[in-house]
Amino acid sequence: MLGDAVQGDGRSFERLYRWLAPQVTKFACSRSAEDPEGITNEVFLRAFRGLNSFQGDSTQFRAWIFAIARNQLIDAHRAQSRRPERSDDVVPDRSVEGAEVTALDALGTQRVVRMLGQLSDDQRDVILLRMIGDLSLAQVAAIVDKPVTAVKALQRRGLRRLQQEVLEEVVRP
Amino acid sequence: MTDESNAARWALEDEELELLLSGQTPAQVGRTGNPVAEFFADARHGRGIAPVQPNEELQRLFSGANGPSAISEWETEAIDATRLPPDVRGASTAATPAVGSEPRPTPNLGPDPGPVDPGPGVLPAFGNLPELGSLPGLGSLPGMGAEPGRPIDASDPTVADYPSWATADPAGHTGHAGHTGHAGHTDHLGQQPYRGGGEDRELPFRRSLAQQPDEAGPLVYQSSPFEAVVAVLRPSGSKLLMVAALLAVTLASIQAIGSYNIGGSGEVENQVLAGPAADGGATDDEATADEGAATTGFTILAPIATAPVPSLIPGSTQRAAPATTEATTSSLDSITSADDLTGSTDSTDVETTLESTTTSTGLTSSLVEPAVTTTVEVTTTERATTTESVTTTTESVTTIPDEVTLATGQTYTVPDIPAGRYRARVPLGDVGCEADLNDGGTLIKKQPGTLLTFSLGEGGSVSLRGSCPSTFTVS
Repeated sequence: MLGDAVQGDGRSFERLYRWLAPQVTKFACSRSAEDPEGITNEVFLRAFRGLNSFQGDSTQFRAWIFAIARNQLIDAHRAQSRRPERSDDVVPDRSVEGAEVTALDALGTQRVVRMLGQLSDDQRDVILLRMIGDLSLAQVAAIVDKPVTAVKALQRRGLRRLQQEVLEEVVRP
Repeated sequence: MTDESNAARWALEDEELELLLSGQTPAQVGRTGNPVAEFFADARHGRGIAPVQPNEELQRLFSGANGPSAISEWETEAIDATRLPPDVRGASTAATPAVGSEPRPTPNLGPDPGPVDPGPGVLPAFGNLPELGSLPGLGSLPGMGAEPGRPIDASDPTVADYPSWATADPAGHTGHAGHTGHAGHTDHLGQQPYRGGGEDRELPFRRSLAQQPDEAGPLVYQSSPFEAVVAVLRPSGSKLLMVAALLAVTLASIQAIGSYNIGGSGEVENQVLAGPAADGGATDDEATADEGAATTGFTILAPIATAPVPSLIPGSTQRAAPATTEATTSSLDSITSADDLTGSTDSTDVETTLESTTTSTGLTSSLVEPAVTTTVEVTTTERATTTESVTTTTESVTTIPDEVTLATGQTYTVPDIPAGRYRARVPLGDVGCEADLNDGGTLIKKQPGTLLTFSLGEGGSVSLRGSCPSTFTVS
């Protein structure tokens, strides 16, 4: 399937999209992206543009997609922060971002996303790439450009911080 | 399609993660189990989220009409076209002008353009300045087109490039650029999106103009560099002021360019640059930075990443990648008790300890707080090119107290009390003080008010009887 997609088979690429788009969207949601679906679409467009140069198996393709997703999110975040604040802008109501997000809210997604927001960027990236991207330590290390040992440390600290956040929620009235 | 072997490879770590994530009540999220762990599990398997609808470009790819080799031929057109609002999409394939490109001609604004009055206004001159036109945003400021007052050509195909304001704007409001020379009339254009709706955030000045109604009287501009310039120009119109204003606008624009292009934290910058080269990541920002440098002559300097200095916290785990730091840390790690620090350690011994510690712990070492009760000073740490030489000096210091309290009727033996010369004045009273010195068998008897002195050597002892002082000065 991956080989066919590299050769330009649209159907095969669509199957790859169906395979990984939900995870990428959740990855974007977890990083508090404004438009997770837009990010996902852009990620796969970028992937398709570079598919000719891609070499590897499905595991590597998965890591590649998440690497693109992470960069895309960084780009989007920078563009967002660079945008000047304007008083006459209509502030979108983020409480109605879509049916899927609403459904996820019922599952505590926002709460977890808020907890993830307490982590450092590196910690959050490592944990999300590990837990959602289902990537190995080495793959995550390659994506975030850090040694494996550093990734381990980030993961451990991040998870401990998450644990602390959960515990604080327990005692919080 | 999850790689089972991959999941199995770090299954053990998953257990660890589960343990780390445990400790909350399910009621907190209304679900059973660990909310965070379940969130991750759902996300990993794509559960709990509706299928993501591919956009039109992806749908075209899925249909097989275009392979990866073909996308480069149409990707620009396709992407730009979809960014246009539906009412203009497909009407023209002309590329959306990039921010900072040359000024576009004044667009056509309807079938009946009405009379065009170039007027004596000074603002149109802005559009004729190529250097301003090359600055991002300025060339596309409303009312500053390259051809102010140009008669409307209804057949101009570029009409389609502009969004709904081109048709919604009533006829007769055209030619704003040179209308009467009033900057305030540019607000009508300013109300409209810049290029096909959206993507207009690069125009820092336009919004404030847009807030002014077309029919408003005296314009009250908000605080932006451009508006300040307009405010200066309007009453006088002198050429001198105009030149000064142009310079101000240019400087303000350059500042805007600099702030936009350099923006972002160093951390994010590093993350972007650190991404895989093949994924096309961070292209927007890098391209913007390059563009800014080309137009303004600025040199964009990459942020300097500052590596955090690891802190040696007892009990914590430190990664000791640099050889120099690692060696020092390991040498400290080997010190786990006072025994390790007793006496003057030979350099060779320390070096051997270093090697064995490094071998056994690899790149990770734990610093254990030494259980040392005496004063320890690591005086010298010398590092050669290939070998480590650590000299540890241990110094045990016996502190002689200035005063010692002795109770009458008890026998004190060195080293229960330090050896030395004891002096104290016998308190006033009916009975004197007697001191038995067991080492020499000397009995000292002193009357009240007199000075009692005795010396204790190694193994000596003293017992006091009678009315004796409680505190003795030791020397």
